[in-house]
Amino acid sequence: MDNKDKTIIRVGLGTCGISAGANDVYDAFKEAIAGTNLTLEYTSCNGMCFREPIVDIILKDRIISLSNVSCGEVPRLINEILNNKIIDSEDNDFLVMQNRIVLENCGHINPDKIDDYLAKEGYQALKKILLDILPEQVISEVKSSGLRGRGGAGFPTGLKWELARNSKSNEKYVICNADEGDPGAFMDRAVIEGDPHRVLEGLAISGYAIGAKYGYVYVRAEYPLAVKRIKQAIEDAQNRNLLGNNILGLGFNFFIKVKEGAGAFVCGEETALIASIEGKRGMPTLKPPYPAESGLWGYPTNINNVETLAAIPWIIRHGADKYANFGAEKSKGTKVFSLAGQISKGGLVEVEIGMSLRKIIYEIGAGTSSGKPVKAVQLGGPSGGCLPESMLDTPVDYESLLAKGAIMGSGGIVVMDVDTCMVDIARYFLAFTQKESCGKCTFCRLGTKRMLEILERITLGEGRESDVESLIDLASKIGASSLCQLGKTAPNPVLSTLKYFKDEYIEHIVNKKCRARSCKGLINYKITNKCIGCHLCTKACPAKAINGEIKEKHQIIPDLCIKCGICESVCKFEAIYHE
Amino acid sequence: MQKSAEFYVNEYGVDEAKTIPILQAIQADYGYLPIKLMQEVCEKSNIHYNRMYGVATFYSQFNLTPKGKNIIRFCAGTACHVKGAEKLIIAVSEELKIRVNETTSNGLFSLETVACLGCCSLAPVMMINDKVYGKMTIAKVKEILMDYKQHHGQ
Amino acid sequence: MSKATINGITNDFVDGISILEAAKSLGIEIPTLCHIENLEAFGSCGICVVEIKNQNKVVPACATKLLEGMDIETHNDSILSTRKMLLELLFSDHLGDCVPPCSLKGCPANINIQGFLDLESKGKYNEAAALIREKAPLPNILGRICPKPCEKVCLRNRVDEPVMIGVQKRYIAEKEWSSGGPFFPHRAKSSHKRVAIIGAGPAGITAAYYLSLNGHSVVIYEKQAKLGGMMRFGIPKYRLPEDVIDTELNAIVDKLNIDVSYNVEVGKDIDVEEIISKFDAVVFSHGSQLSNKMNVDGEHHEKVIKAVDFLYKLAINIDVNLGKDVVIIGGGHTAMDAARSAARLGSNVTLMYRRSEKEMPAKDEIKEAKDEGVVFEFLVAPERIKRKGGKLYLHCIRMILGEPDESGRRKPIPNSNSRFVLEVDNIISAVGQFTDNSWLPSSWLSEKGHLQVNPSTYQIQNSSGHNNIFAMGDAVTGPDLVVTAVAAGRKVAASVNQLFLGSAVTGEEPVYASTCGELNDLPQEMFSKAKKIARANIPLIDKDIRLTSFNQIEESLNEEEFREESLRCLKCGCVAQNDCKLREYGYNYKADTKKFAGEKRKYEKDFSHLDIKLEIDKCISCGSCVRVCESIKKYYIFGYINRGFTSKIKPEFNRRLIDTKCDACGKCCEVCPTAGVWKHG
Repeated sequence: MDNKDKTIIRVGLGTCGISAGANDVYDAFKEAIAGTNLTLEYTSCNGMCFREPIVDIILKDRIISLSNVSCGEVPRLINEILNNKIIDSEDNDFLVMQNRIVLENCGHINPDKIDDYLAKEGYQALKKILLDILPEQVISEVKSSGLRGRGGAGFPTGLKWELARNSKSNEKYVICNADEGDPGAFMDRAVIEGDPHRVLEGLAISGYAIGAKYGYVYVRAEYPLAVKRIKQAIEDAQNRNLLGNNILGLGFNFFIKVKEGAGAFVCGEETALIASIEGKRGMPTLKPPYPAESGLWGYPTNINNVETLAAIPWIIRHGADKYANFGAEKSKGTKVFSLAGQISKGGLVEVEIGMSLRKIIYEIGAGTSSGKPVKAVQLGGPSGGCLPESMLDTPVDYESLLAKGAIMGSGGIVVMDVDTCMVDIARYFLAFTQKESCGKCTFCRLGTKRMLEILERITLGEGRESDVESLIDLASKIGASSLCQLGKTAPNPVLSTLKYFKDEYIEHIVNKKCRARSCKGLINYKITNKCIGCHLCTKACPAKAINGEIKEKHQIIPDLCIKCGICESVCKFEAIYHE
Repeated sequence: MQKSAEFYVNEYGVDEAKTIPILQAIQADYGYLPIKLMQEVCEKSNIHYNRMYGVATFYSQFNLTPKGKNIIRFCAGTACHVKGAEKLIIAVSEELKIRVNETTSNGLFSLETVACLGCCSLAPVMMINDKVYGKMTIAKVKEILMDYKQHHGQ
Repeated sequence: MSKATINGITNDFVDGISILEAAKSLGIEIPTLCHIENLEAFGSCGICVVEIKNQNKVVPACATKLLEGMDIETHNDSILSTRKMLLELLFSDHLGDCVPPCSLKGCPANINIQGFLDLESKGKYNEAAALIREKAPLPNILGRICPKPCEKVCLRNRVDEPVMIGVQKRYIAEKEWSSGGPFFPHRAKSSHKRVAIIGAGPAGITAAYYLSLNGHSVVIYEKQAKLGGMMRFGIPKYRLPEDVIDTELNAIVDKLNIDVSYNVEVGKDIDVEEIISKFDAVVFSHGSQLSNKMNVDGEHHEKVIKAVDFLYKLAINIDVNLGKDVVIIGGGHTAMDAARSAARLGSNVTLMYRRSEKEMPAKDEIKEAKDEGVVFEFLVAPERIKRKGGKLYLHCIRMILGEPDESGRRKPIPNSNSRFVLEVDNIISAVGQFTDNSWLPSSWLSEKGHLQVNPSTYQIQNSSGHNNIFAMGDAVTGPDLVVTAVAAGRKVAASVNQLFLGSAVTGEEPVYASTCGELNDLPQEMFSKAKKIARANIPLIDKDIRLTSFNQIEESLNEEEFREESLRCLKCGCVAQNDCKLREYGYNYKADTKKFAGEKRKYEKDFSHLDIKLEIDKCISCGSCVRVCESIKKYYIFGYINRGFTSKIKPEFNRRLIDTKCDACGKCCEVCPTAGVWKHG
């Protein structure tokens, strides 16, 4: 490259970086490099969200990585770069235990430059199969790689392709499911924002394998940057004849369209996603028939998750065996996890399947952000479950997690410390699924509502002795008889918390106590003698529930207090606590 | 510029599959989905009334009434919940004197929650219009809102 | 063909059919709500779930193809409890009264009030009377003396005043009588079974009526010389004239061939054992005539009279000489009857009650009694009675109300600084009655001497292996309303009939119904469209005549006035009450309609269209109307809106139905399992 000798400043502009202020940092550098020989570039998220904004300085011989860069620092940093005094703040512990396949380019290339991707062997896998691998061979390669669906269910990808390939039809479709709806999971967003061509290449390979001419990328509406970058990538790929008619002159026609979701969690469910592309409400239909037989507009359709497709080019390039070397017995390869919640180093982690939760949380994530003990880990979002600290040695693979009452899901790992109430977490998820229920089947529409009402009254301190039994009864029947996976799995957060934290439920119901001191109905805020009467809390209290003359100790009026905790968080003297 | 039903049908097509893109375009142009316009689109396309309205009320992106000039969306994802997003929502509610899904009387702000924005490591997260703000605290939120009141009022 | 097993029956089935169709071919009915013949399966309702045993799966039968080797169970315990919960969930979001509250919660006999008012408004008096008699054979008597608990729960209370219900029964009966009635249904063919009934009060007569209609031969043993029990000997004639009792009751015993042995006291004139041995079933309904004591010193004086005795004497026209000043003690209907009767005999009457007006059981008559000169002393209790000269001195104490007691009424507590003395000529005590069971086998009785009966079947417990001995009415409950005794009589007849048919004796099934909730909890919007229409007033006869005679005090209205009054009925009962799959399955699966009480859909009706009516609050979101309108009519009028719990099915763009192109084909009404959408007329 002609930039070889130049020093490049590369700012991470993923949504997470931008939310930490990376755009402003980028603009500040843009202004500051004027008149220097420095080049400014951007990339997307490298997964180290806890360090955002991240700025890499690419020198001739090495790369220096800077964390938590603020605009104010920019002139000083420019100075240090120009004077060769810049110091690396890279956090090696976070990366050293990872095996990056899907994320290999994230944070290293400019996602809006197709050449950056091509320089990293981009589209070589597509070219390779178009040159001399038959679709059946592609499928058998994917089968022997052991790759399983990364969206949650873990269905073997090769088998899924084979089913779609074997469906007889003139027309077939492939869809990339980028409707990443699990709260707490963001790997699909990061992959599309950081390496969109990899997803397109994977989708094109799947199209070739099953015999489809058209592909869709269904991206959720809440990801505007991902939409922008994938659209740009499609345009660039078409211009290079990597998509479109007669790709690379090798006779394969393949077109990709982007469909933007409009905000509905259930559209992550295959049949609902198809309904959404068809312009309908995202209401799931009964399976069978499966999309592989009758999907989009009634034609055989194959749907894969972003991460699944992003692994495909690597598998084709390096061979199935190499991929299958990674991972566990029944779960091959690597998996990207998003580490969030009360964790010191939150971000994206790509590790071999089968690594223990403890390793991921303590060795990569460096433990809780509060320093307090881990109470539980939530895996798999609203369809998943909460595992207690005592289960942290569980290897993260599909079967082990399922056996413990959680699921791999899309890979969200939310860490919770002892200040999190497990009943409240169950309530939170039920509130989520209830709101997202499409309303079609009775058990999901009404059953989850009644479960939510029971959980709400428990967290308000109005629980009844029979509530635990009612929850279990509802959960088992909703789980068995709902129409789609959203409904079938909706009770999981309740079942897993009941399994491991039943005593917390009982405490709420019988002793009217929340040990995490988080359920509003069961706590009280108090002001201690440390109060100097500064009035900060009085001004902040939304309920006007704090009384007191300036410079005198204040009082909380219990009847007015809505227990929002704002007073405690604004007090600068630690004079307010709750119990 | 507010466009006619004809425009949307010509631009996006007449099939039911175009329902969501058409509604997204109308929402982007108008800030909401005017009932009459939706009905006119139906009349000029193959989209049925019941389907159009069903879609418009199904997806959380769409709204049938106008919103404020600035839309504040608090992430209601798991990580944000665990990190106390609820307190922030109460604080903003109080600051703006509106509840979630309401608009201030001067039309400046609407307050909403949104399913995970995917910035979990920066929880709690807030989005104003298209801009995402991470690691929010009550003080930071108030500061940002003040800035909007001063600079994004007109 | 595919070989598969359903409920243990292995069979060859046509390829490609659903489990639902396969089961049907074996005569196994699987319930469905959203299933529509000839339309693609939808699977929204979930009621048709079945278990595929060998796949360990629960699937919707309508939408699952039967495949080779499946081992299916359609009605095992887990499936039944799943369906039950599903129905309970549907009820939790179904806002509607199957049966109107007047009939369900108000009337102890569950008389079809909405139905008879409707017939009455159309001038179909004989049909109306027949409808009342399905539940209660004494329309004329009840129309005069019932304290009308139905009117207290009438939804019109929330609009203006309740519909006048009680009196209309009397009017309907009078119209029927004037055209040759009372008319009864035909008796069934003789069963050759014989029943003895002890006591010809309202419970006994009612049981006799229904048993006789069912073809059984009935003998009533009555201690008195006439029919009616407390209706005749306890209720004063100004409320219930003798000729009405005679006509209504004589018609029953005469036309239905009921044998009555008058002046026979069982236990004295004939042994209980003898009766038991002679009949296939025996029903005890001997009433509750013994008076409670006041438990105050001096109550045994001859000028202290028991209300029951006083009223009995008046009933059989024996003169009672009361003094000038009379105090009645008690707050029930017997006390009220005694007070108003005493007023008619010319005394100055004071009614003394230890609680407040609000707690008084007979408060419905206070106004009329006051008009007749009765003075009320609330929150006063007697302490002792002394006699000096020809006078009685009643020592009283005032009470204050404390916490509610076990009856739910606030308990009166004496206020020791408030004693006072009244000088009177007579005191009539009306502080409750109890039943004389001394002549019955002691093993039937509780320690306190009460008859113990099974609350559903009314069979006497501990009757040494007999399943054919029943008891009911005041004899079991203590003094209660006539309509309650009538209800019990009918229910006992149902039990006896079951016994005679050789089926399990389970008693009459209680009415199964979904309800909107208690009167005062109902949302105001339910009533916002109801027009206020003044309630009719039944004129009373002149006060002068009232105070000097025992003439019937209520006059009547003319036909038009009654018709207008009956049209005030809001018709709260559901149009689909006899044609609702939700109610039918709910009953079959014993679903508790209130199991998941929580947030419910809002009251919402669209009656804009002349022919097709929408009750969105009764919709169970099965989607049948949406699908049938789209696929059969290609009209696309109904659609799903919103999401989650707030999702609903409504006409396009939330329009009124009249503003859509609905042409009233009625297909949607045919497939709606409830009254979500129905065709008028």
